[in-house]
Amino acid sequence: MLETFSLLFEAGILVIGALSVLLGAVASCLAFTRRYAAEISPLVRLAKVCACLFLVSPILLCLFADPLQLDSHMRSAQTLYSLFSAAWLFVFVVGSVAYLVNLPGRNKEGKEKEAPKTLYLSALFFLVVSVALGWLFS
Amino acid sequence: MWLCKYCGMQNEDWENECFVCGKPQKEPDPVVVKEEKKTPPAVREAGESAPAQPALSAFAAAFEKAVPVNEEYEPIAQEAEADYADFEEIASDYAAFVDAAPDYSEYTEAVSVSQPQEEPDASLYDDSYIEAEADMKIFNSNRENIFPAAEPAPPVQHSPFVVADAAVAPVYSAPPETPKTTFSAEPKKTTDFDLQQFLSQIKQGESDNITEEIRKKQEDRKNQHPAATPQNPPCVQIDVPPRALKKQKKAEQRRESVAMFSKVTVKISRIILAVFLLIAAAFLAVCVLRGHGENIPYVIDEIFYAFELQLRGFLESMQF
Repeated sequence: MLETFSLLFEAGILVIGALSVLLGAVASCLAFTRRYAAEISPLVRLAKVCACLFLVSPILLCLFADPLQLDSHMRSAQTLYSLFSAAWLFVFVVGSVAYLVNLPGRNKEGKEKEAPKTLYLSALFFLVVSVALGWLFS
Repeated sequence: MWLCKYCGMQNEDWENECFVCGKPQKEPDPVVVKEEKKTPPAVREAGESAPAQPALSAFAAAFEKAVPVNEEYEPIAQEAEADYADFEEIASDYAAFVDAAPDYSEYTEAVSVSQPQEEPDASLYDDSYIEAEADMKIFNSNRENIFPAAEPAPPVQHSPFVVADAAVAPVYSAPPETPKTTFSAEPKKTTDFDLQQFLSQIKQGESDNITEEIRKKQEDRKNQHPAATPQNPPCVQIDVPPRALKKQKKAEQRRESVAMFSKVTVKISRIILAVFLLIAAAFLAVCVLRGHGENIPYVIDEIFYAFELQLRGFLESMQF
């Protein structure tokens, strides 16, 4: 039963990581157009939540897993963080380019485009943290 | 009467000096005293209308008696006499010039008696009169067309200048006598065309037309928007070209689809997140139930030991 939950949890970590990266990618693609600024922010918010859970989940997995299988969990965590860092590197590049393209513009409400800025800054943060954690678990 | 040799002023009674300039005089020159004496222009202009005052002569005599003639002034007086001779010559020349001048009074009289003015050439006014008459006829015909009930047009007054060809040109007839204008509070009633009435009729007509147009527009609006009221007017409809309308509709549809996609994505993500949280909670619960929580310090030590090994390897690689 523990192994089943452990597998489910690992699968969930993968899914949640993929979801966060997907949300970040969609948001960064929408950030190229000014008119969808209102639609970007919920996606970015949700992507940040998923990414935070993804960053924490492998650590929890290693802490609460069977100590005999700690090495395997740590290796899987390293792999996850590596994939995650690569995915967020893509999101960071796309988001930062989108932000730079639409830098002088403002949205329809006259507010500065905070969502793309938040997106690429978050991507940068997740990229750095995942790289550091992957290096830690390697 | 004698003249002063220095200033040329007339002196009535003989004294040893002029009562005007006060210079000593010798015996009066018989030539100067003559009736046909030549006087300087100042004297001529002053004329005889300024006789010497007797009080002044008396004063001059008293002054003469009080102040005797100084012999030192004799040479100066001789020079002055010589100068006066020159002055006399100049004065005589001036008098001759004045006498030779034409008589301006005769000239002005000649000018004032002007020649009788010639009668104006009536032929010059023929063309303008004919044009004016034609305009008048057109005006009268138009007025009759516009206002059939108006009073008849006034009779055409012919020009007084057209007398050359009576057969072609209209003959001048004197206008009918009209009563003299007298001031009265009531408006003047004229038999001619009433300009005020004409303007008021135009205004009335225009205002009627305008009100009619406004009424029609209001009715059209009511028909188009039955619920519209003056307080709640209908929205302004802007004619948009069909292409732009299609483009706008497409953009709106795209925007709506994107908004819908984002909403769906967020909902799905929340569901996935909830599922993941459930799985994580279940996994942690199972771990805690199995007593794996006791191994957390050991695992942390292991993790930090791995981190220490990594850090050492990194530093060794940096040192070469």
